[in-house]
Amino acid sequence: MKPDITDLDIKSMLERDLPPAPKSEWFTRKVMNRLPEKRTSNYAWIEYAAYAVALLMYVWAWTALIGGMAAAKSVTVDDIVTSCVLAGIGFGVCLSCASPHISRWLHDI
Amino acid sequence: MLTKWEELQLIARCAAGDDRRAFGRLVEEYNDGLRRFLLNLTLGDAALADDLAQDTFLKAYLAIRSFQGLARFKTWLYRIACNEYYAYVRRRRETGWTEGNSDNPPDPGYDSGQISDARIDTERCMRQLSDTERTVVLLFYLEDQPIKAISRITGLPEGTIKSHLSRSKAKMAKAFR
Repeated sequence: MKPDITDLDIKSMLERDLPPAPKSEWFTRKVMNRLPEKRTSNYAWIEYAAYAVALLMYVWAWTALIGGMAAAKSVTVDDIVTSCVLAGIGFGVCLSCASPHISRWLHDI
Repeated sequence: MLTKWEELQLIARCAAGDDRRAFGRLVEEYNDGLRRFLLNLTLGDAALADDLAQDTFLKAYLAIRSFQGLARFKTWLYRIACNEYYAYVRRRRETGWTEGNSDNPPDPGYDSGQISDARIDTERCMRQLSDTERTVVLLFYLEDQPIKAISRITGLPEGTIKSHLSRSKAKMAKAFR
């Protein structure tokens, strides 16, 4: 054998002679079975309850606005501004609710 | 082979949404290389290598939120694997087992009936090395890791790694004479 050993010699020797990992079709399954139980998110219901309350208040606000306009039998500038503000709030809340799902869908595709 | 971007996506899914399928994909990607590394680090003990590999992935899953993405996932994973191996060595030492590699009996796992002389020589070479030297040699030559990555994996300074490599090379050259 040569007295000096080069990096290439060592690399070739190790790649040629050291054994590869034995085939294990079940390795991934074994690891996954050892993972802890999936945690249920205790805070998720709070989020949904908040959205439900927001929805109720939103419906009440529109009902009050439309009821006011019907009672007055006229539409004022204030009514238009209030309608725009309510529409904006509704859009913002819908976006905040839907954006995590949209992001996940975009990543999946 | 996963690109860095795909890897980060899978890790993000695991960390943010506890996506088990994403983690399973990472296990499939890295388990062969990791098991081979551990098999040779443990001098052919396949059962031990498998246990250490499983523990490594389990620890990686539990700590995945702490992965910062500054290095590749493989570097981080191998660091955990090395820590697992050294923890095992410490436990064995506490029960009276010593690190005298050449004094250890041959480990199970190598099929001595079918291996070539060249392989016997290579395995004998590996037994001459200390645990740290063997780790560094396997990472450098078999896993093609640069010195900087080996430093991150082992926690040793780059100069120390170069010393270990140089010493290992001398030991291996001597073993082959």
